[in-house]
Amino acid sequence: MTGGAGVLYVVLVAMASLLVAMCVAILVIRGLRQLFAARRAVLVAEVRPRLLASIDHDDVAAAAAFTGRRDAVAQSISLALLPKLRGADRDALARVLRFGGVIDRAVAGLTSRSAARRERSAELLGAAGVTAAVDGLVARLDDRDGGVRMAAARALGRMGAAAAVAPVLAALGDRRLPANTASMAVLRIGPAGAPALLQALGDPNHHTRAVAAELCGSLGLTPSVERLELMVDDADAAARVSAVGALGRLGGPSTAAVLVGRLVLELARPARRGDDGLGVALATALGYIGHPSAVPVLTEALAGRHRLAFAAATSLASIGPANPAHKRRARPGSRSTSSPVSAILLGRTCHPAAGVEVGVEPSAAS
Amino acid sequence: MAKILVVDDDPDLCALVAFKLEQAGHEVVVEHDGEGGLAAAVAEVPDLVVLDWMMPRLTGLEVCMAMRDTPALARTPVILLTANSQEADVERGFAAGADDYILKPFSPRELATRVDVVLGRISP
Repeated sequence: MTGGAGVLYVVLVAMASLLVAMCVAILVIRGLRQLFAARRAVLVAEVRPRLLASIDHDDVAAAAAFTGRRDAVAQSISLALLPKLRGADRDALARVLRFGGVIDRAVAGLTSRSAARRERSAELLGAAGVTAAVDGLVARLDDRDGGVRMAAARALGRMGAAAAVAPVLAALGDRRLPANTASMAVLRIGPAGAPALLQALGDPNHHTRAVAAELCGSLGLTPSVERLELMVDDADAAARVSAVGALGRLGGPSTAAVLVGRLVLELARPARRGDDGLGVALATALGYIGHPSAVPVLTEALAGRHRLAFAAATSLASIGPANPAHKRRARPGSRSTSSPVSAILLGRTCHPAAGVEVGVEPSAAS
Repeated sequence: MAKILVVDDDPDLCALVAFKLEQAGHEVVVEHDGEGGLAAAVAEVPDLVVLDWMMPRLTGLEVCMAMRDTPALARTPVILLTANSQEADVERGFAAGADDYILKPFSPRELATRVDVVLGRISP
């Protein structure tokens, strides 16, 4: 055997040995996993019924009687169940976790060096409704990790912590929290957060003002109407549109007068492509309020661009057929039956994309 | 006592629901995926089915619709137990043939009460 062939033989033997060793290692790991899974299944089958019975009877001492691996299994089952439950069983489960020291460890975990642990701790405290942890969770809204900040906001929302509304909205304004996470948290807290929401309508940050206005509408906070009416002239376009949308949900006849006046101004402005958001919001809100005083300006808006004309038509239809403008425009066979309002009143499918005669954009008409 | 089929891919949740329903005096059959759930429904012909929506193989909605297409199960009450909380989801659930819709996080005691109410509606 030459020297080169000998080296090749050694390399091949080494590679084959390595392959065999890897196969053996994989088999051993699989076997161990199956063994651990089987042992855990046995433990779960033993622990779970006792844990469920102790929760059912609110017997914290019985649940805490688990030791060693049984205690670890009981805790993992409890942690898995906690976010899925509410009511008396959730409270009993939370008491079990508190008794076992899990809640205290989660409170301490909020300041852990590990972001994953801080996030898990926040989720657990929210799911368990640990109101004593509100301050710690509010502090996590400033966390350097985005996942932790969102987990803290979710937890505060789940706990219904009214004190958290202002810091959550502040975090939203600084872009530390995404709008949907902050909004969901405040919505879950509900009307208890009204004072902070009303305050936020005057926030220097336009993003905060816009979301606060939207939330006031979603939560039905009628005390916000006066401030929202002022926001119709807000310096920020998104805040204006949000305020108008909220007023559509909350407003009465006096609000309708404010919105009608603003829509008149909007219609008098020279139309520019892409800036009809406020007009559309105003027309839509007037439809929600449903006051007949809006009919003339909505009828005028039918001559606007597609989105505005469609919103005005829909609103006119929802205000009702009692006004003469509707009847005149809705008469079948008349020239105007192809307008959106006529189509809606006559029960036809109508969408701007389908092409209606009114509101054709200047560029398309030329 | 009624025979109730609980179908959910979460074993801990299944165990809790089964425990509560057994405490209320019902006989409970548990399955962990949609396909198994539908097979169990056909084999056991339960008095009521508690169905999760998001499950492997067949979703709860598909199981519910398949049950409605099976003469022996067409009138079996179904309670959907799901985290899908959107208005449109609730509408889809009822359109698929569900008799009740419970959102997660849920109260197991409330579920047991609703089961009794739905069973009371169908009992002669």
